[in-house]
Amino acid sequence: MRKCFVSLLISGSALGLLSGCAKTSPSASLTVYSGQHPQLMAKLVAAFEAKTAIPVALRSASEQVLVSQVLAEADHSPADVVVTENAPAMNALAEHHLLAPLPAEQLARVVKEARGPSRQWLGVSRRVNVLVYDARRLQPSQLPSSIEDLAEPRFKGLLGLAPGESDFSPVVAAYEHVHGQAATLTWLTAMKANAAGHLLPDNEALLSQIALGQLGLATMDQYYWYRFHHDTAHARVKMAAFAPGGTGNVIGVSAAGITRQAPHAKAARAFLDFLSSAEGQRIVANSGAFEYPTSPSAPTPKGLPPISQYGPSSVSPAVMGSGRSALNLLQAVQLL
Amino acid sequence: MSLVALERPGGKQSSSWRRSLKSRWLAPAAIAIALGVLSPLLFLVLQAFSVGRSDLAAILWRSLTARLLINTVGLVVAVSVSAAVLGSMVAIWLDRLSPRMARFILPLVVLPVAIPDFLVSYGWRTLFPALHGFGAACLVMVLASFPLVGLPAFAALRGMDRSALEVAQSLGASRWRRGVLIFAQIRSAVVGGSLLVALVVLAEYGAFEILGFQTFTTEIFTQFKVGFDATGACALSLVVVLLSILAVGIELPLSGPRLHLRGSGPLKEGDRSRSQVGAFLGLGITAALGLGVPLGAIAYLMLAGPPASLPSASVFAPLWHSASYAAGAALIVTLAALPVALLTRRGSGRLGQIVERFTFLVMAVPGLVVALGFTWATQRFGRGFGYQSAWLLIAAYSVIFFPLGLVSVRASVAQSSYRFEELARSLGASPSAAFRRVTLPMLVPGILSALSLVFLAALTELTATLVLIPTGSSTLSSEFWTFETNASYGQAAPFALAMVLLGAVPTVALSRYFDRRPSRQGADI
Amino acid sequence: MSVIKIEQVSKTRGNVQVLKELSLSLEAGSLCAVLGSSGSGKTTLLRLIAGFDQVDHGSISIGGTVVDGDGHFLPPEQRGIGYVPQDAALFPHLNVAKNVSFGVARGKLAKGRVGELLEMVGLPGLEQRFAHQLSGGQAQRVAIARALAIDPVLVLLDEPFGALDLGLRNSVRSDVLGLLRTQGVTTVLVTHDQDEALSEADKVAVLAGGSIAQFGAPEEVYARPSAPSLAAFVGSANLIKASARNSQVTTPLGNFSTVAEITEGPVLVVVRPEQLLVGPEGNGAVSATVKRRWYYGHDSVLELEVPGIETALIARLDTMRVFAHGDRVGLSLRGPLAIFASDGSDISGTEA
Repeated sequence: MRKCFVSLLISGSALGLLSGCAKTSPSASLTVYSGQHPQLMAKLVAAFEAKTAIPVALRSASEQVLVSQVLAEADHSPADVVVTENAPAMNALAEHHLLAPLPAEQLARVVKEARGPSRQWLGVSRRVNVLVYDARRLQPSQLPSSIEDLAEPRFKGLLGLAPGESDFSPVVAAYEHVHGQAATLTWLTAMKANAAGHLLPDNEALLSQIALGQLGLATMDQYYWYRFHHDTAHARVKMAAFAPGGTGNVIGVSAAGITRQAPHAKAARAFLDFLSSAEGQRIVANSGAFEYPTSPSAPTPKGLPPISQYGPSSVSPAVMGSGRSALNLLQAVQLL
Repeated sequence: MSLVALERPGGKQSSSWRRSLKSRWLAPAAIAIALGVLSPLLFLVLQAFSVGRSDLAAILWRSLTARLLINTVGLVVAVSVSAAVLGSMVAIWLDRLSPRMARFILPLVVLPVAIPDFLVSYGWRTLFPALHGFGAACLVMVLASFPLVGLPAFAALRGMDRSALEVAQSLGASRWRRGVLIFAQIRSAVVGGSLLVALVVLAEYGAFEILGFQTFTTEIFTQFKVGFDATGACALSLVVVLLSILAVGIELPLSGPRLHLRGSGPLKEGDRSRSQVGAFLGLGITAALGLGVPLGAIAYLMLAGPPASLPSASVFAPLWHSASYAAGAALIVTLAALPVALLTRRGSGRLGQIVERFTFLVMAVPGLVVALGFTWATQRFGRGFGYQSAWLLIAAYSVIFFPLGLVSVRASVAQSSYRFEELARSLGASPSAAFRRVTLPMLVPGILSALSLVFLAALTELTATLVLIPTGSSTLSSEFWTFETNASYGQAAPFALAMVLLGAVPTVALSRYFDRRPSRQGADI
Repeated sequence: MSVIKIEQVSKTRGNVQVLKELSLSLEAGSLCAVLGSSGSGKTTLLRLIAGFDQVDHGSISIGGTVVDGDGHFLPPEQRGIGYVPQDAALFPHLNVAKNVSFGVARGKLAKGRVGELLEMVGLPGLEQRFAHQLSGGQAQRVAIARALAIDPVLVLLDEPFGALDLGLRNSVRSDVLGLLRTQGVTTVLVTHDQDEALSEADKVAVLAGGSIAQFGAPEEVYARPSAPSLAAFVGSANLIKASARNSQVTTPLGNFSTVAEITEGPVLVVVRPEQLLVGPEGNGAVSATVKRRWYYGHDSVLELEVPGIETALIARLDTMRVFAHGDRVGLSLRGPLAIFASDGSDISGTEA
């Protein structure tokens, strides 16, 4: 009986070993490394495949890991296209000269802020940084009107932060761009004091905590709130915008680029062409991901106000570079 | 009367190994395997030092580093000691039950190993949202890792010599002193398990991220966010590796001399009854906390209604991939661990012990760094050949989980003393026939144990998987992660459940191994 | 023709030279007991014969063929030697039948052979049991059956009866050794138990200081030890200081003449306990006081204090007369006594 069991186990393992290795990724398809939320990418990829009959191998992971991976993969990277959730990650790849320049006509289809430096990437979707708060504890009149106000002592114990989130460092970078390094350090230190004990790993956690009444307010990209609201319909968690034109109304851009050594460059260009096309942008708007398209002619997503209503900040993502400086600041105050 | 002979580790061994057929390639093979397992460390060192000295210093000499050191070392010590205590108590409680009861309850107590630590931590967070910081991290890690001590301790108890305890009792020894006596016999099993716990805590990331507790390893992942490349992360990884060297160094003298004991088997009927109530209570609470909470969280998530922001994915394809990758890794690790474990039987066993301890160091390297090391290596030396293939992923798993397999095989190797092979040879069997007919069958329990443990661990591996998995493929853990990070908890839950169910299979196998009666030759601890 | 010939074998283990130029030779069909204290190298010797270790110097031949030494080495599986270790070492994963038949090739195993062997060792019907289900004595006997199954040219027993309960030991021992004798198997029995060695063996080899200190029939080794230390080691002995002069030895227990000429000076006389006759005082017997008494029923042992002799003497006698603590008795000597010069060398006998 025991012998039977042993040989079964061992042959099971051997079978697993062999069959697991039988699967090799098909080589004649487009490989996309995506740090974007899977729901959006899945829709875009499906539509692209239906339209062009080019099979796409989609690889989803967090953008930090993906970028490190592409850097480690260097010249033999199987990635054709890289899509990131925020611009700094893509700018990091650009700084390492790993991206191929894109055709000008593709870049012309998207708004100026969604064009990468030296034509190295284009924005697929964008979103605005907003405020989320607990409606039971805070009245709209009590809310900060600008992101600078978050440092005020009256928010002590109410503020929550997720410094590791990829949409936070662009906010810090924008702040630094506007106010300079020293002021940024002061602001971060004060916010850290306000958020003591409420440093969380991601935005979803911030929203959950607000819903539970553990937190008063936090700042994040608007689409997180929309998705949270759609999933759970918590009446308690509300969203508010900062005053128009403020530093805090940072536009976050999800960027797509083609790698320099892409094995399937033609297909890659077709993919980016699709992403920036009217059809692709319509999918972005209607995807249910609650992000704004980057093409000016594309429709506004249902249920969302036009992005211009927010009075977005003038600091463009391209200017922020790879966000290294912002991250160094975060490390300096030990938020990271 | 039973005999207790004290033997220093690596005591008298025959010197005829010199002429044995196997021995000529055993040592080189074992060393080659160990070097292969340690190769990620090479990547670590190269990457860490590729950045300038001053940059390295800037990363390492910060006030944050001091805090991380306190957090990490404090947590490792607290968890190791607590897990040692809880694991020993669980083993003692199990021992008090009848063998049939124990066989039934054992899987419940071992199963926490099959649950990814981040899931355990997620479960606790769901129940007690206010949970965070050192205490929370300690609680979660103890509950997730105590089986690593409990299992070997239980095996040791089964092999324990009870007559010595009876003599002590008749001499009027108090409960406390008898407890000390028990501990002396299972000491090396407990300390060995605690070492594994320490290394697991050093390498843990996901659970601490959820609980908001900073250790060196969480900082390593943060470094990826900062630098988008591996240099800073590797520098910090070096610190973690140094800490693990320390842990390994401490374990050796702590584990005491190797004891040869005549096992007296499970407790007799009469001695059992009075202490059973307490045992049931203790085990029940432990199972409820260690297993019930995460499972409850999964159930809660599944019932809380899935929001449809992500298309529901089938469980079966990832299940198949998870199972086959994990099974492949289990087989490779077990095969590779045998020569290294067998090396401890040779000569004074010293070389084998050193080789074995060194391979433990790979546990301190985060899976992500190992994966990037493989990436770098295939790029540098293979022009990308084999990258992101299933083979490479299995190879990465094999490296990461090698120490688990080694520890499991080691116990059986210790029991299959070389003198059985000698005896077989005197009866006319050639060296290879002696190995095949005598030693190998005696290694079966350890082999089974290794296969099961590595399978369980590989099932829940996440960070290396995300880097190396063939594009378009997915595992249970990668799917769970995808849904969880996008707050689709309802859709994440089935994958977590599938992981636990799949993990239950080898766990039951493991518990059968422990039901074996000890041999008259005694258990070597 | 000697079955086994060991010549000038030396073996070092670690820093210790365990065997020093040891030589031994055994006849076919004989039972040789190797008697030595713990750590004397008995197990090392057995292991060398079995082929588990290799000699540093010297040679070992079996049946005329050199199996070890002079650049040759025959591995253990080709020597055809049955080895029974101290704790039986039955293979735990095999039942009794499979253990016994382990050394015999599948095809060559005659039907019923296993049953036959088990009957021989007195364990019929235990084929399906496993090692942990057997008692110590049973396991030991299965190990012997296992060794016999291969029709060995030589059987090596390493203190095989040490782990048995006292009551069982004698009977198991006689049965097993009797069986080996009946089968005509050459046997080497390693033991530290003198009773065992003396009572069962054809020849006794005393292992001391890394080599064979004395080799001969039991009565030879007992009655004519080659050194005082051996006299004290094999059986008990009273070592009495005396002085010799002109074929006359003067001891506190009387004067004797020697058979051969010995040098003048102080000597040691070996008096076995049974050679010390105990009787009533007087009649020229030397007076002594009984300090302690051990009564065994079939005989008794007395510890006696004799004036002029510092250590107490041990006497063994029948129980026709019973003595008690404090009795005054008269002692006389009987039988040939071994004499050694003070430095331990030289030997000659005396007539009392």
